[in-house]
Amino acid sequence: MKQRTLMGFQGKLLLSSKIKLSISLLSAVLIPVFFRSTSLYQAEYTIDRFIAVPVIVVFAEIFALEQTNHIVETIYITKMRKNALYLARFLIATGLMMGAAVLGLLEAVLLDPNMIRGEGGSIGALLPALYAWFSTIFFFGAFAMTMTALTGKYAVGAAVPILFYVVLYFVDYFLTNRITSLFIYRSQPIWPWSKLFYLGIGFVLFALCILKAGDFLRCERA
Amino acid sequence: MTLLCRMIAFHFRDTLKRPLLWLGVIVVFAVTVLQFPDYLFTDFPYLTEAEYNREIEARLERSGKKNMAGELGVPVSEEEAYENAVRAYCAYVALNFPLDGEKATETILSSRLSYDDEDWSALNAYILSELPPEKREYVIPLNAETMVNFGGSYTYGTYREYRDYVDGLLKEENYTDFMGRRLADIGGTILMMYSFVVFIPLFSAEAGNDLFEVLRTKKIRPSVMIVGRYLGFSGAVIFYGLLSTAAVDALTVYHCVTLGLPFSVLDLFRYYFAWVVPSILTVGAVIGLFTMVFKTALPVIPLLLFWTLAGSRPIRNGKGQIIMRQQFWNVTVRISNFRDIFFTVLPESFYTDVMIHKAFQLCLILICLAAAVVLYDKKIRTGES
Repeated sequence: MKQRTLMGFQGKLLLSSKIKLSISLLSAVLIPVFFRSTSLYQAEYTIDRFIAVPVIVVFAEIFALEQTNHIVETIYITKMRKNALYLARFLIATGLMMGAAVLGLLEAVLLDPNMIRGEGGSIGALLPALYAWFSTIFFFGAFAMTMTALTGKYAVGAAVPILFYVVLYFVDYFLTNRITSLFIYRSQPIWPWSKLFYLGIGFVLFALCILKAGDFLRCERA
Repeated sequence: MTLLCRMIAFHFRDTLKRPLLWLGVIVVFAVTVLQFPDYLFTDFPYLTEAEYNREIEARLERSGKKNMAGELGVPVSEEEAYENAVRAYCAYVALNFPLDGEKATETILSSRLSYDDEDWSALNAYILSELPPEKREYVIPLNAETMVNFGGSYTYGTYREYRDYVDGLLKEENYTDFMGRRLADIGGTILMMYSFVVFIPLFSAEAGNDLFEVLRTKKIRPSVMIVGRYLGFSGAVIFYGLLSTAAVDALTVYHCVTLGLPFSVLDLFRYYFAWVVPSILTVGAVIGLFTMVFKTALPVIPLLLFWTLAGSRPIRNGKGQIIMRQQFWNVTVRISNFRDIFFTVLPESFYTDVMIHKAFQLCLILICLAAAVVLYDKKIRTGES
């Protein structure tokens, strides 16, 4: 019951920023409209490549709720574990973005139904895509969450990961097929390991934030 | 009017005083020039036959060599485009399904199936009729969407064909004309990214500092305040873009003088003002409006980014040839359907598309500014931050 109340409270907080969130989520869902694909594989890869940007903005927004709504005091005095609060937000944001990615793929199929006739048209073939998306969302989400929590600033929390994304994109362009290559998907044999590498880094950042959530909020209050 | 001019001048000067933004100009220039190394620092387009053949070979072997990628091709006729598309599609079907590809190709080409129908219905019907019923539902038909994988608008011609094609083009237009169009596309896209970085902190500075209470005491009309800031900031971004364009223009003119190519100093600026500046003004207006709503335009960055990068997928006609079209909803004018500057010979309809595109941008600017003024007025009246 307590967990449900906690999730409900976080949900209400998120609704207070609903328009901003809706726009960022909408941009994730609309990726296939902006970047048309001719195959399912291409659609999955396009979503994986571009979803990082809305992910960063959504996570930064969600972890900057205290600042944007001026509710640091309210959050601080609530009798709930601060790390549970962060965990709830993280789960909600990850769920939202995974949902947006899946919706995006459905939309791509609706735009061009021919693509499910080609290679990878079965449900089983979607598992690699779910793994790739989860890795990207988890890493960039944790990164944006960490930056926002550390600096207490929405703009910095979004700008630094976006800058990192741009740098990574260009580095990948020249140094592809490495363990550090994030923007590869199925075309290179190393892709599951590179995704795992970023998932690992994401997990470290995520654990750091969850463990230090109380400290971050205390700093904000001070 | 005087107050508006003073406001514009104030914000323009204020923006130019930020050293980080000057650093951005260098980045924009560097990234732009990196897109055109072959067009500025090699003997292009005056290659010798040996160089031409070497480049073609390197390209065909897919050696990963990026320079001189598309510019070595020559456009194909409708007949050739049709034949290439049919051969590529039949080869694809034969590879994946039990079909005699050679026989199917010959049959289609000899009876010119679907030569005149844009939707390739006759050709698709023939291919399906040649396959076992249980396999038919898995075949990807040839259509406007899938044509991108099979159709082609240019081929690697002989050295003589290439020279005739390039020489013919340079008699019609300056080399700087071709460069100007390419710069407006790629340079314009890079400049859009830069304008996000400039506009977002500038517009949100006031909202972030909760200055509405202070502004309420000033006797300045909301329209003057909004339009003044908007034009001041936009003017600064346009100025930064102008510097970058001038630098590329200088390099292009030097290249032309060195190789004896026809040029005009003003060509690049012409395309910059006609094609890129309206896009900067559009992005500024959209960011300005969203800042007024959210205090920061960060939530719309993904949308703006995708909006800017989108639209690069070429549209193809029934023969598989790329149709040069400008989508009215794109942020910038996109001609990047080809990598080559010599394939930016645009049909008349493209310029009509650009006019529609610019009219759309003007409407968007006016709507965004009007909405921003109304919102600002409301905030000032209520003292809401």
